[in-house]
Amino acid sequence: MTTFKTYLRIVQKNIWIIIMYTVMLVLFSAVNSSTGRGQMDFAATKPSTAVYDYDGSNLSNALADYVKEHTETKEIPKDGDTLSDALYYSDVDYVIYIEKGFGEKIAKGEDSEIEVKSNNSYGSYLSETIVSRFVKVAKSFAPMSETEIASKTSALLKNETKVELNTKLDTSGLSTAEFYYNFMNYSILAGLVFAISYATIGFRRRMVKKRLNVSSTSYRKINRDLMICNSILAIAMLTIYTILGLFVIGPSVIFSTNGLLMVLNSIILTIFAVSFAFLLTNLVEKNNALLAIINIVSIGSSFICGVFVPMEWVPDFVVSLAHFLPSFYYIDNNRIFATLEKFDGEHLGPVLFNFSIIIGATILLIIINSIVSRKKGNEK
Amino acid sequence: MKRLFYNLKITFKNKELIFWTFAFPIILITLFYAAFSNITAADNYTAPKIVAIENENSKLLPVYKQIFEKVDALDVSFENNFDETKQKLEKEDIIGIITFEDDMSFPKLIIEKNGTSQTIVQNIMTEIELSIRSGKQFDEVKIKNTYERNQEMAMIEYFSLLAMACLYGAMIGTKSLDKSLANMTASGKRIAVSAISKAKIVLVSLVTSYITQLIGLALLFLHILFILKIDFGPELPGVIGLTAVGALAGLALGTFVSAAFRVKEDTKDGITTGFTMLCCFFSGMMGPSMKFVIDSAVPFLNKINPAALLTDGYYSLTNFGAGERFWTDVILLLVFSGVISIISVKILRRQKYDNL
Repeated sequence: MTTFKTYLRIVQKNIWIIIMYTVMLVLFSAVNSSTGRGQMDFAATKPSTAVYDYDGSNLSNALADYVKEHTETKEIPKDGDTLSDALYYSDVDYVIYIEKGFGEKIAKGEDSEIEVKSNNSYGSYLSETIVSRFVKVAKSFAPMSETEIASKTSALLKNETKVELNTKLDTSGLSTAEFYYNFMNYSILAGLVFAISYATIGFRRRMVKKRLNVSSTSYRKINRDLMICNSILAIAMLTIYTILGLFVIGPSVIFSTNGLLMVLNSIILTIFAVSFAFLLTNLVEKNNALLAIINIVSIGSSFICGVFVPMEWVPDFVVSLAHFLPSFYYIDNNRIFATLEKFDGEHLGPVLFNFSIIIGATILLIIINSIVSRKKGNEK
Repeated sequence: MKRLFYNLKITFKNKELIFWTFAFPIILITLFYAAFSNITAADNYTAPKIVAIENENSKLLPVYKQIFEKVDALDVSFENNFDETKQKLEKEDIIGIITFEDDMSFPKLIIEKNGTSQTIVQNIMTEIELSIRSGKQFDEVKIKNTYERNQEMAMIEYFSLLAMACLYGAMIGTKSLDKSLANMTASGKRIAVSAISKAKIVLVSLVTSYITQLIGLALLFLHILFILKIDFGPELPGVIGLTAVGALAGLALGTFVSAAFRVKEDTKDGITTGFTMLCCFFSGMMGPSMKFVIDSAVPFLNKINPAALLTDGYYSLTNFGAGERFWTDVILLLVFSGVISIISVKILRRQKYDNL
């Protein structure tokens, strides 16, 4: 109980660390959450655009309306750096300038060059197909009056290729869940490991250690108590994250089989994180080294395993390197759970393989930890 | 000068602090570099793979086949077996399946999940359908892109890492100042009862920390420029200058943490790291769009966030030159450093202890 009370006191002093990483988790997921949650049909991705209509004709209005219908248009002041910033930081993918005389030229069947600002992302490519489709169709009716072209174009554009979603899953909701649980890799490896290390290292200080060595309490019992405290902290943190997930992702997704598998995945990663933190406090005595290692592991693994950047952006040799990290298998499982529909042996095979790698790494850390602990226990 | 030399010697004797403070950003930027070395290729469009299922009874399939040959934006292949193709779709080897009904029915697109690539395929398919429906061949549209991204997306990450390195240097400042504080170290107690000017000691500690930080950042720059070969363009001197200002903000932060928080050394390190990571998060380290979201929703937050000021300074300098925006960032950074330094001095002044 003494160990627990002391542990709790240290955790209370550093509770802000856990709060901070939790805030990051919620904000990150909120910013990256998918629209159209609960949607079981095809929902077209809406790239973000900005439209500046200098023409004001019937046709330019129809084009602007068409773009607004198919994209997420943003009102961004065109003066200053705001527009460049928005393109640079990918807040806007595509900016369309409809020049004066656009409608007139189209009506006459003349070429009308459209000025755009594109950040060359997939979103900008998508925006371009939307703009060019409207203009191509409109031009095909020329020569004709602007009003007629506008109405004929709008009528023809109502025809779209029918799309059927093969899956019956709430893919948008699961995509948000994937973001949330992927970012949890960072929150757990930084926040939880940080909190555990801080609390545990308090018992490893030279003076405290000396006092413990001369006390009647065995080194093994202290270690066991600390392990229990660490587990309680981990369970508490995981519970908070799961409850927050209910708000960020939605209960229907969390309580689906896929959602529950993501929760299970996070539990397995948390067990790994607890063993990692415990080993770290046994191996590293200096605080600076501890902080640097935690940051390198949490940020580094999150970057190269595809938390902060999509995995397809990561080069092959880095992906090969990432295979040595349990985070890779945790994130791969989240990716699988986001689309998994059949829960048979064939489909669950890769999942079980990923679980076994993380569990194997945890067991390895526990073995190393017990060797180090025994060695340190003998040192007294 | 002599005091400065000895202080530097003491600081560099703390090998663990020096190694990790210097090595941490170097290791991290190397990982960033590795993770982002493919980012330009990722930005380039690659045609989505789709499979069209053959149907002899479809009258539109031959028309589509002819059109597909001319469309570079789609990578279309033809298969007979729907079930096998569906498995490919479920494994996400392909983006979609196009099925043709009998006679003149327009094809249907089957996808596994919603997404950008799937929407692109649907858009292209729609355009083909519209062309067939209207019975006209659409002319190409002239589109002129007047925006040129002169920097890769990865630069945002490098900027935020430089900002992090500047603020992380606060740890050196905290450690150095803690040595002079009577409530923190034994040497601080000795200094408190000695006849030496405390102001001088504190000043020397701060100068030592700043020099140490600059040495660490110089090593980071050498790594960035000569090993990773990251190009900052013609504004490199400005980037280095801004980093020196950033180091000053880091030093001020370290001083503030040391003076304002009467907690153990470990906790001070935790506060510095936590604050730095939070600042970096809001400045876009974990996702560039976060900075723009904060800039749009809570602009004041990033005006007092040293990491965001630094990343914005680097960005504006390398994109628009040393204009008003860059200098505003520099001034705000200096104001941040000045304000928290004044608060630190206020806290540190006339500290007396009855017992320790």
